[in-house]
Amino acid sequence: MARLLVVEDNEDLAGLLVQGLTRADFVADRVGTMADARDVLSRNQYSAVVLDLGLPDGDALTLLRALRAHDDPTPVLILTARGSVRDRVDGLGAGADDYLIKPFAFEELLARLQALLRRPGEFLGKPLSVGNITFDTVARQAFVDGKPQVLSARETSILEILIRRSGRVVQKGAVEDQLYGLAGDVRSNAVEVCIHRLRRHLAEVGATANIHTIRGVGYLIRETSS
Amino acid sequence: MRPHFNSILIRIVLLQIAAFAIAAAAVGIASHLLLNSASVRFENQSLRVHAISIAEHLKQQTDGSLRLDLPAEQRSYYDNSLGGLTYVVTDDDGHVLLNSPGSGIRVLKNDRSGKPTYFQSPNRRRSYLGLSIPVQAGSQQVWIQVTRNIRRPGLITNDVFLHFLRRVSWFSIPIVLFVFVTDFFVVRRVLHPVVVASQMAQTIDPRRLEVRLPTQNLPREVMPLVETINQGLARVEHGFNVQRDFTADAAHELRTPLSVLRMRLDGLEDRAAAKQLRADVDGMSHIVNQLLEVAELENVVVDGSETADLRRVCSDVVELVAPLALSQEKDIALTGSEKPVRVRGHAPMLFQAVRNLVENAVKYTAKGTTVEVNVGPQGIVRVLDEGPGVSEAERELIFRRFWRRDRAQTGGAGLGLAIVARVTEMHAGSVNIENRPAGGAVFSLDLSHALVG
Ligand SMILES: Nc1ncnc2c1ncn2[C@@H]1O[C@H](COP(=O)(O)OP(=O)(O)O)[C@@H](O)[C@H]1O
Ligand SMILES: [Mg+2]
Repeated sequence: MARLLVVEDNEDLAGLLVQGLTRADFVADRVGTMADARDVLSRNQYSAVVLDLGLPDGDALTLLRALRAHDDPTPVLILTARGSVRDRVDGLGAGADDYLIKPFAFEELLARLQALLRRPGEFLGKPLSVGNITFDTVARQAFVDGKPQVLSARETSILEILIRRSGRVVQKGAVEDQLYGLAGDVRSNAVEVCIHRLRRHLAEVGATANIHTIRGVGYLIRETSS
Repeated sequence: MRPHFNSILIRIVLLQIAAFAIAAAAVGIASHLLLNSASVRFENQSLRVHAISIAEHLKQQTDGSLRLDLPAEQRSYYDNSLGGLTYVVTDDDGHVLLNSPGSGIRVLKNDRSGKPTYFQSPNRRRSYLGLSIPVQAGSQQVWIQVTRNIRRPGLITNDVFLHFLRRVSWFSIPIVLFVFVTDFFVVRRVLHPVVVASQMAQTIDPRRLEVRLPTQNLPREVMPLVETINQGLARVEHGFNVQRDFTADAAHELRTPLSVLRMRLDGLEDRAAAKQLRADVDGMSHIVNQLLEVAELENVVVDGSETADLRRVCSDVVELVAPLALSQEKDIALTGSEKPVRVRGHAPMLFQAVRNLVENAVKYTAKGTTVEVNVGPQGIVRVLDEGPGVSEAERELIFRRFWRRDRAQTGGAGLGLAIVARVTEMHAGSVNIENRPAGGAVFSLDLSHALVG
């Protein structure tokens, strides 16, 4: 069971976050200040931290920087009310793995947390899913409606990278990088060919999720709208 | 020439040269006057000596006529060629009895009081000085008048004066040069802190408002100016910070309760109502975001040294908006340059501008259409849609804050294009709207003049 730390000073929001995360089978601790966060982080091992930037006793970015300075790899997802042009870049520069601007959809937070926790080779929480497709990141096996699918190594890789960011665009370059480590041809249209085959396969087995091409940018998998 | 006189250094040097010239002239005139009066006294004395010696050698002969027997050495004084000395002996009535050879005879009307009288030529040019003394020669009362031509060369006063002037100019020219050179260094040294302060002033820009002009070693006369500038800077910085803090606080205070609200909706039993309320919260969040963006853009400044890749900016926008477009069954594509298109500008702000154009294109078009974002290699971003287009009459209005074609439609506040206009203005670019022949609008963001390379 993944243990999370929620650093958020707003009582209501913190309470709701812990409630929601608990419902999603996480164990969540909650602190409201930088000092408390520093304290619990030094005593416990967390799978990920949800960090609000506007804390009463200082800028949470300094906490994040200190964490990274000590080579602490704990994934950090920043939650910020400061969506300003200046602040946006700062968070990632300080070593955050992802960030969400308030107000956010809870499902979005959950999806991003799950993506952060699912580093290759790790298994935490439920398998990834979109529509009736599920993906087991440890066995590297895709299922449609619970039935295991026979896919090539490249198709599996592509499906995995798309499903990790389901509902969001994966840049074409990132997909190419994913394929690069695998044997076979690396012609420029290799990705297109692969996507095409994967798309046809999913349609044939009645998957309720589609792979969309965003021309000039990349690909995206999302549940078919009914 | 005029701008040159704005230099304090040149002003000081010029004023000093003028002061030096006036002082030199005053010294010249004063010494000339002093020398003159001294030499007049000297001349008068010598005239007296000559007159007395003439009187001594004046004899009345037996026939009653007068005779002057001057020793040879003394006679030579009156040779006209030498000292310009002349003498005239007259009787009481002014009739000439004797005179020196070659003298233009000048006769002074004799003073009846019988006192010696000094006189000079009546015109202002004072070509001679003279002395008239009464003498008793035997039985006869006569007057000896001695004059000296003071225009003659070789005269003591003229000589001394010219000599003096020559000497003075010999050392006064180096002095002037010396003063000039020392002025240059002294003034430069004195003004150095002012130069440092003005260099510092050049680094002031709204991104570095904490800069203050240095007051160290500053001349007392310049201090009030610099202090006033520094106080002004402090006020500007304070104003900026207040505005920035306000925007940040407002963002926090508005967004956090909206998050709470949104999460509470997730726990609602009535799914249909929750869905509708969520849409409302999202619309409200959008307006809050845009208001905050507008407020923030009021006190953001574009740093001239930053560059942004338009291709990357557009790619990020398409990536962000794509899920929304797909959920509304619309297609979105990025076309144009495959290579980076670098412009001088602030990438996050350009992102906001393009994002608003793309969101509009998605929002105001029908299902099944495609929005195309085209990045031109010359620095022009075009957003093409297949919607209703924008009529000529609306093309100005559309950029105004809170302007919407359809005020009944919820979800927008009419701020999007105002943000686009502001960002474009800050980058000194332009936005153009055209309609496509087959229907739909094209919004072009022209940053071509900011293209790098
Ligand atoms: N691509 C477009 N096609 C047609 N009309 C548009 C387009 N973009 C904007 N408009 C019109 O301009 C108005 C102002 O747009 P905007 O400033 O973005 O505010 P908002 O989108 O919040 O209404 C919109 O309400 C709409 O009527
Ligand atoms: Mg808009």
